[in-house]
Amino acid sequence: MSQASAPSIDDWRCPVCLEMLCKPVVGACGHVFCFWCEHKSMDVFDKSSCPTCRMPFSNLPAVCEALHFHLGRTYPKEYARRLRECHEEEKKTGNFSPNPTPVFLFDFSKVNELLSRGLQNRGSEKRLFDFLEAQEPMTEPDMNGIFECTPGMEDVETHVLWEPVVLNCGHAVCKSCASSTLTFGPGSTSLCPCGDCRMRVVGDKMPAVCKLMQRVIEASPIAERVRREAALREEAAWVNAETELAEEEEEEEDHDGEEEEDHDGEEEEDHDGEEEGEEANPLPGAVPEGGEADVDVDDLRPNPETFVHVAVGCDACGVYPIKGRRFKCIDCPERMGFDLCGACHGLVEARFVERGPRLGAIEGRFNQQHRPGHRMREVHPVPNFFHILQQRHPDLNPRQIMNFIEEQILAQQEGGDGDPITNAADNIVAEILDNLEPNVDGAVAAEEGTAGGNIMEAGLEGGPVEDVVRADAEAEELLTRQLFGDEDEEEEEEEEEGDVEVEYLSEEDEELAADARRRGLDAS
Amino acid sequence: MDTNRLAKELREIQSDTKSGVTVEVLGDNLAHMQGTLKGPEESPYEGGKFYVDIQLTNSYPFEAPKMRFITKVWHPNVSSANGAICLDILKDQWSPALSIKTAMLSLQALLSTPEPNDPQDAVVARQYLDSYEEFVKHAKEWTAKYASENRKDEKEEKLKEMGFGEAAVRNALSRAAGDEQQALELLLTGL
Repeated sequence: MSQASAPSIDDWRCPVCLEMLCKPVVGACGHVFCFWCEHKSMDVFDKSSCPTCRMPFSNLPAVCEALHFHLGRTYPKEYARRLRECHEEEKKTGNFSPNPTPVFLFDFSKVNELLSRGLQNRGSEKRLFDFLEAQEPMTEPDMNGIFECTPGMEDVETHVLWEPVVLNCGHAVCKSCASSTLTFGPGSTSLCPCGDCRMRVVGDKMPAVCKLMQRVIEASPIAERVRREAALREEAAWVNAETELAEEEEEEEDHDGEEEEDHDGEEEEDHDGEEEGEEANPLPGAVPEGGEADVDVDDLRPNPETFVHVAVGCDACGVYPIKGRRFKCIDCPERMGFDLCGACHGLVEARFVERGPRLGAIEGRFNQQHRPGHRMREVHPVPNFFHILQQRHPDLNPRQIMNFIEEQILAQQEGGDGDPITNAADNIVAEILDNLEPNVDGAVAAEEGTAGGNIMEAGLEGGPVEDVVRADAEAEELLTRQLFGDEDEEEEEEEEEGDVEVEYLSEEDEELAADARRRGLDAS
Repeated sequence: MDTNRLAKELREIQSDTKSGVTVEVLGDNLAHMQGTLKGPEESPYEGGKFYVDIQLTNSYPFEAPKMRFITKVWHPNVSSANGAICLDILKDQWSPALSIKTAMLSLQALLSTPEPNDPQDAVVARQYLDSYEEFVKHAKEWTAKYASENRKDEKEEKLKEMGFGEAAVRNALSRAAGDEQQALELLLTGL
């Protein structure tokens, strides 16, 4: 086979920031971006699309360690500079990305120390950058050290990657290994086979081959051998699959029975979950059909199974935003917070039990060190502005709703009268409030004043909304109690709500809440 | 705003003289730029030079640049009144992997291939669909009247002779959509 050319330094440019890739992530379409560029490109309300090919995706991938290490070893000086820049930027925002440490670069006697400090080498970034900068560039890629596939199959040893597909956890597997060990699409129960991370495999179908990584492999001196080995493995897998298929056919009936049983078990579990949810939220709102729907109080009670947690992502599978149940760690101190989607929650718990306190810790997408013993709480859905508008206009997509809100704000700005955000909020809220029964006005208005206002600000700036939303977390819990707490007490509590709330809210929120309370009074 | 990336983009645009697209920063604020593009050949806009107002938000490149024709254009997807543009990549189809230059090139392409079924200016779109020849005639007239480079140069020279700087003159002229009198007023009032 002809010697392919290795990617040049220009090929390692991120299509978004036009700089050298920094902590590369590989999308399901195989395109590569900096971690932060990909994060910032994502839609906080709905599915995102790849900046390069527009392929829809829902999960923020974790940093691809293979490419991260490869860049560090091939361009140590440039890459150290990029990591430094990135770290400086992160210090400004207070949100950090993981710093995967190439453990093999360090003294192995220190591995234990590294483990106890958390694998991501937090707090010693400077040391890592200095170390990297002092390295001599490698002229040949370190194939065995970096581009490795651990397919987790009994009869297949760890080998060099060929046609790598990068899973959502950032680990790469050969395309052929992935197709024989992993299942993709809805209902998949596959976990990453790397033997270490055990994260859920997500996405509608198998990721596309990362062409950039494949080019590195093809240009290496051992490419021909790797290709031959891959072909042999694939052939063996075919034979295996055929024999399995034959066996399966024989056992078809037994198999069906088993499957059904499994299925029932799952369904029951699901059902239990739903019931719990329903107890907490007695009236999950059905999305009204047709064009403009009348807002009914009942509609404002969101369905916890479909609720969109705007701008909050799962730190295990990376789904962003989380749709459905959401769990939040109350012990992780990081500003970004540590959240899990319903599907990953159980998995992480199981991992803690299986691995024990030291190895069980997992790194969040933003370098949170979530450890066994940390307490997770389910976050009950609290509808904000966006959700209310969405319910009122089921025919509009999230972006159209945001455009509408933005237009309202712009219109107000041009009017130049008072605080544009509050004014726009007033208009929309007033309209919605007109349709509500008087006795819940207070609660709903107060709610809007906080979450709604912030979401709009975030929408305007388009910045990292997660922070803003996080600021609301405390208020959120309180409001959840107000909206979904004991119904009988709701009316009695009403008058006190304002006071209780103020204690929990920041100054800015306080103002908005006060505003909202006034509106509540006016309306009633 | 990602100023590093913007600086790179501008350098790239300046080094490229073939595409018929230019972009320059107005004043010392990177958020406000002005671009020009040549009317595509074999279109009613051939021979014209069109000025485009470009405004960037703080979220650029994660949000589309706001673009508007300053030069009057007779086109189904451009408002004949205020130059507002209906183009998907400037709205929900924007991607951060696009750039100011690719957006300008898309505008150029839009001039060659109007989308009358997704109009910005309903009157123009109707004319385009009902009486295409009239549309072409009208578009050519407007190109000659508002976008002709020679005419603009003449005016530019005149205003420059009055003692105004070249950049200021060009800016005023484009903001006045080529109207010499109005440009002079803009220059005199220092706006």
